Amino acid sequence: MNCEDCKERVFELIEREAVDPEGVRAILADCPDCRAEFDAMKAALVLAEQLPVEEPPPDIDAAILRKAALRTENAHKPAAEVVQEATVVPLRKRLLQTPPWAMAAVALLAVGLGVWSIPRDVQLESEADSAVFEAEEAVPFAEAPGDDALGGGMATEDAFGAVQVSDEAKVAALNEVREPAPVASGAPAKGAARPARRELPRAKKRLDALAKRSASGAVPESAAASAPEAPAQVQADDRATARAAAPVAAKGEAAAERSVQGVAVAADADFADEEAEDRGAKSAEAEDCKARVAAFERRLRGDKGYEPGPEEELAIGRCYQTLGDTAKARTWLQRAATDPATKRRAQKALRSLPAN
Amino acid sequence: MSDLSDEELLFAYRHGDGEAFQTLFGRYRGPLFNFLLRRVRDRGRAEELYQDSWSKVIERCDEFRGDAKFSTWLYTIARNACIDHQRKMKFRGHASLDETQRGASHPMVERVANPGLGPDELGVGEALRERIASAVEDLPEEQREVFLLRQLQGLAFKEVAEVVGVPVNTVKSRMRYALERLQLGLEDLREQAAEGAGEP
Repeated sequence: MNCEDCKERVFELIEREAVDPEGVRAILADCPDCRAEFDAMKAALVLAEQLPVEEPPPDIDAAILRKAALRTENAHKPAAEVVQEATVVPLRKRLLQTPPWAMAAVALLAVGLGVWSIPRDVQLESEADSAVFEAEEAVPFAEAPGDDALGGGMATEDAFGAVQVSDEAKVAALNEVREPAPVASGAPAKGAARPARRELPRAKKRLDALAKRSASGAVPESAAASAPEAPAQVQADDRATARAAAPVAAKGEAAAERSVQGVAVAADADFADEEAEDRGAKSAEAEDCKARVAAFERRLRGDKGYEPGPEEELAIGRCYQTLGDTAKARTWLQRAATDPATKRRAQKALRSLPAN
Repeated sequence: MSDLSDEELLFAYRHGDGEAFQTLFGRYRGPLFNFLLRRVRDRGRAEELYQDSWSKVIERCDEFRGDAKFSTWLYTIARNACIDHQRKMKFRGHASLDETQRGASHPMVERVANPGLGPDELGVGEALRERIASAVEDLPEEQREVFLLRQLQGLAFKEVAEVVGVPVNTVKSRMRYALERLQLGLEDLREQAAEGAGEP
């Protein structure tokens, strides 16, 4: 064994000395340096053994043993209990944690703000809807037989017992306005003869207007005044009854049908109103046309060199058309169609003339 | 119970035997505390780390697979706790006692006044132990931890190597350097110690 080996194995030699002192002594006898190294290490280790030993604090020992005991106790407990015990929330965290009631309050506030932020128009519309349904109850011939096309399932009853009519039912009501009622019903719907293309948008418009007016309580009067088909006396009686009983009595399928039919009748009444307006406008237009045609013919007769312009030709052609003089209307409209400025409008008017 | 190995005691504790833990705790509480005390050189921190280390043993005893000795596992936990603690202290800007600060010729630990009693107040044995403790604390950290593991707990060099994470020969070298340094620091006491050991 050389000196390097001896240095590396010095601790082995120190340990071995306890069991084989003679063997170790023999190894170290040949080299004084190795012997010195051995003695120095051994002396240092003896010194190191004098290193003071300190005791850990008893309270910490007790805490550790308590924790260890708790674990053994938990080993015999159900897992849920152990988890509950283990998840002790520190005080600081507990204070920072949001209490459940506060979360509930925030949720309620959010819902309240949401409801409050709904545009007023939407609210009015929904109020108008309920008012329309009240008015629907007031229409007497809404119970006319044969209008079962709406069928069941279109009306629902809300929490307050009021009947709500689905969109499907409203569309059906509009269709009823547009389309002729079944012959078997014996009570043809108003406006059934009108061309569908014209009637449907008008019906929708009128329905909206009616709903808005009914929101302010004016629907029954308006409907009664403009619907000669609905006897005013019966309508008034029914209106009073409906107002009193609508929230609770208007239940079920039959009520829904009556409601929808009522909407249709109210719309028809409004159509009659509009027709009267249209008739008045047409007669005024005819009067105007008469005057214009007379003035035009006078000028044409009086001034031989008078040459009307294309716009004037178009206008006079339309006047003849309004007055029913198709031949003259065609003549002037054809002249207007020769000018590029009025060609398109004149041709359009010509197309609307009845064929010869 | 006392004739069971450390590993058997830990397995028994895992299966609900509280007494097994007490036996195991009794075997290691002193050496572990002293290892931590000499390692961090602060009693308060040592107590904190001591409690943390045992808490981890209790919490993680199910993870102990038995392919290493319990002592190796325990001191690995304790050493890692020390390293974490040192990192925290470094992060917080605490100066290491081993560092030689700018303008100072010696590390801080050598300049801190010893609050202990002087030789006059102590008996010879007490003074000797204080000197030795001071000399051990002066050792470089790498040498000190090897010395403490070997000397306090009597771990084999192989186990020390596992705890520290270096080859066995490196551990032996560190131990030898540590002893040489101690010897130099305690030159005046060497003869006295040799006499006490009954050397010829």
